[in-house]
Amino acid sequence: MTTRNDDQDHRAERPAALTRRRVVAGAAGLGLAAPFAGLRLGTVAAQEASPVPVSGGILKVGLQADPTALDAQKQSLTAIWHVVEHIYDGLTRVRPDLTVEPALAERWEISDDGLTYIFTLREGVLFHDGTPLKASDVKFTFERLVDPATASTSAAELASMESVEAPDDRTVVMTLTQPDASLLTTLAGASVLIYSQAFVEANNNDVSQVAMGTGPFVFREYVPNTRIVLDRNPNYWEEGLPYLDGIEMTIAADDTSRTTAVVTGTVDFIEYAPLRDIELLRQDPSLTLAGDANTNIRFIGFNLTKEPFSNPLVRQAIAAVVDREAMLGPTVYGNGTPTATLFPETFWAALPAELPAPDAERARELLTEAGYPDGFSTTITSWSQYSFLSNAALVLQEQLRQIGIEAELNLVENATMVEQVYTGKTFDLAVTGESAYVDPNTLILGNFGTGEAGNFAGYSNPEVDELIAQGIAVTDQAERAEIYRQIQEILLADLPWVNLFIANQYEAMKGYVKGYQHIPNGSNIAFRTTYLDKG
Amino acid sequence: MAQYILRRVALLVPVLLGVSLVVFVLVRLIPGDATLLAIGVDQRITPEQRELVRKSYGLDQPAPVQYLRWMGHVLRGNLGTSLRTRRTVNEELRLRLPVTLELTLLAGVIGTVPALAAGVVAAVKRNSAVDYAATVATLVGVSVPNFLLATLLVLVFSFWLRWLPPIGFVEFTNDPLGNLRTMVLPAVSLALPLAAVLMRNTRSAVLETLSQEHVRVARAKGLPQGRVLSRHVILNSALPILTVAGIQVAGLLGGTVIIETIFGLPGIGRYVYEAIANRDYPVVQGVTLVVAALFVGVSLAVDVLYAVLDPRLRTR
Repeated sequence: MTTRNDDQDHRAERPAALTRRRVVAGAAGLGLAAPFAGLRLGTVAAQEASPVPVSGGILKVGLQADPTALDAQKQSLTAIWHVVEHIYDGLTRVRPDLTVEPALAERWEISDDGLTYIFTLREGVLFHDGTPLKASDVKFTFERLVDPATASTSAAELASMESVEAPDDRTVVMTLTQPDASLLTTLAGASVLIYSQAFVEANNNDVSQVAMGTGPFVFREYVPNTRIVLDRNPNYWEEGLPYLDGIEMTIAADDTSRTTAVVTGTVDFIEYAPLRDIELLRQDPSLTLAGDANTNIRFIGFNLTKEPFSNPLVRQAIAAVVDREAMLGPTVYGNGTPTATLFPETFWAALPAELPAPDAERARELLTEAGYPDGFSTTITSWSQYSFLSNAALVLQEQLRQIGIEAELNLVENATMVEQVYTGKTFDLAVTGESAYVDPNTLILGNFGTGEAGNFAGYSNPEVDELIAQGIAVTDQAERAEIYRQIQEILLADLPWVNLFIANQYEAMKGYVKGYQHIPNGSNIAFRTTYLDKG
Repeated sequence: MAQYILRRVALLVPVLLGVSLVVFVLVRLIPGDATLLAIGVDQRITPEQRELVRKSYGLDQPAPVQYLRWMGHVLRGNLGTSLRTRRTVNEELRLRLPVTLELTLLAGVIGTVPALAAGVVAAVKRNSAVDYAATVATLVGVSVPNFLLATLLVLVFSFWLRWLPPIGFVEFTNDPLGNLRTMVLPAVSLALPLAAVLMRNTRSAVLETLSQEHVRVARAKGLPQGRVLSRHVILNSALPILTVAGIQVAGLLGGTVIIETIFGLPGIGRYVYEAIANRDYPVVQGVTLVVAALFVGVSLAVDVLYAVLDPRLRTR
């Protein structure tokens, strides 16, 4: 009979209709919170928050990229998210340790079969125009995402949703076609931030140049490629927050300019602190850095549909010869962790595995066994635009030479990369990356599920498919972690990828910027607790 | 004269029509799919959902239909709508063209005026210290690529001296001084290669004129040096200089791509660069058309100036 929200034990009358349903106690009930409270990943805050945060002041932020537009349902861009996450709220929100906490949904209940989610909205939440948030707005937002007329680039986020209903102003009932353990993390994402139905309709369904939500900051101005200006939301539902009077975002795409901007104080804060400048930024006494391992992975992907990489011995040979430590310098200036498995060791679904030492001898034996005693010629395809990947390709080319594999480098720009690797599949070896996942299912299903669009390697293993289905059907995190460990062990044996390293990500800010917390999926939602302590 | 200009303007029509066709075809020949780029490769999406996005971009139509549709819009003064930003190219140009024009104009002034003066002095005082210094400066100017120069300028004037901000463009109408502060470094980066080439050309053009007989006659008549230069040398050297200057200034538009990215300026250079990277066809097409019009406009202006400077050309 207990419904518990995340912040406090909270006894509530259990609705009669729910008698046969297991009532889940928010995030804690999913087993998400407690066992992982000590998780190191991403908990490196900028600094100790001083006991009494100071209100006021404008935070000047240097963004790495222009958002181009403001409707995250229409385009899947991190740059959009980094603006709209301050203006809107989702039903849930991701914490710095990557667990989920309630946001606009104060609490939720999940039916025993995992097919019905009942969300109760927080009371008294107002949109920036003063109108109250209603369950119908949530229904409208989710339905807009999957509406064919929207032609959303993220429509698949709610692929498991059968219907969404708003029986009263504070209740949202979501029915799923199949159990989806990653739903609560999905609901923290950019494409399901809650829109005001009235506002979207008043703008003829076009919210690409304007924005109005319930978030900690109110949209004031967006001058494309120049600046975004946000003001404090005085009616924000989190008591006392935000501390800042506003945020002024400037676009600083160039690395040197971005570093210079924060060093000289042209801005107070930069995202994506350039990895080559981390030492310089760290040594600057006026600055602090936030950040650590991130939810990303850089790897070699094989074209499993082609000789010679369809031969597991060849893949094992490459896995044996690759020297991950040697890649860190040229790619991320040492700011990363070499890894043979998918996840940072502190992530709940990680498979603890020793990093194998490079062994050219063994690699040569494997190649001989595979029938290539003198090696072969091949091509390494990678992104010319991202030096952390193209340089890894360069180092790999050198390392493969040791076992007689002559690889030609094929560094191509983004659209060509997509064409050759993801859609055309004309590549041999690809050095590429994945990032910004919160739930392990995002990475594993998309890349290793049979027939998935993102599964460019062409990997297919019925056992893995079965485990993926199990991993999403159970909600207990310990059980899920075990399933994902099993999947990773199979992947280590099958080697559709050879994982290389996990890059760190940092934000750099002036010492007086306090209360900011790095979230390893790249979110800057911590601006709502950020304040300026200029003393 | 008026007829001459009219004829030249009339010639612009087939040129621009050709440009529109070439850019339309070229941009579609680059491998890559605008739809997929907007979706992102790691997004799970069904083929039907992808087709919806493609349709919303108008890319489901056959190419000739797309072209005719676009030309129809262009003739009515509408250059198209960006696939990504959903803003019209017209609106975007209204915001961005002034930035690039200001940058180009500033760079043009910074690049031409001192270069012309230095070129004349270097020619007149041939083999002097001034000449050698100018030669070395030119060599540096031509060899240093402007993206390197831009980065060096950021390091010196923003990072070390902290005189000028590295980023943070503000509109001229908003804050003229702040606007100029963010424009100086990019304009100088853009101007240096131009200045170098122009200085070299001025020097050789003036040298050539100096060696001609009418100059010797003028000197023999006893005309003072200043008068010889102003009446007989500079005017007669102007044509070849003007040719180079015209091409170079128009070429500045190309240099803005990288410079605008480094300094975070919201001009058309960066706009078209990002549009190409994302296969934002309407933007690439619209901007190329406008830039082509500007380019031929500048050449036209140069040709008209020829005619003004050299009466012989007018009769043709």
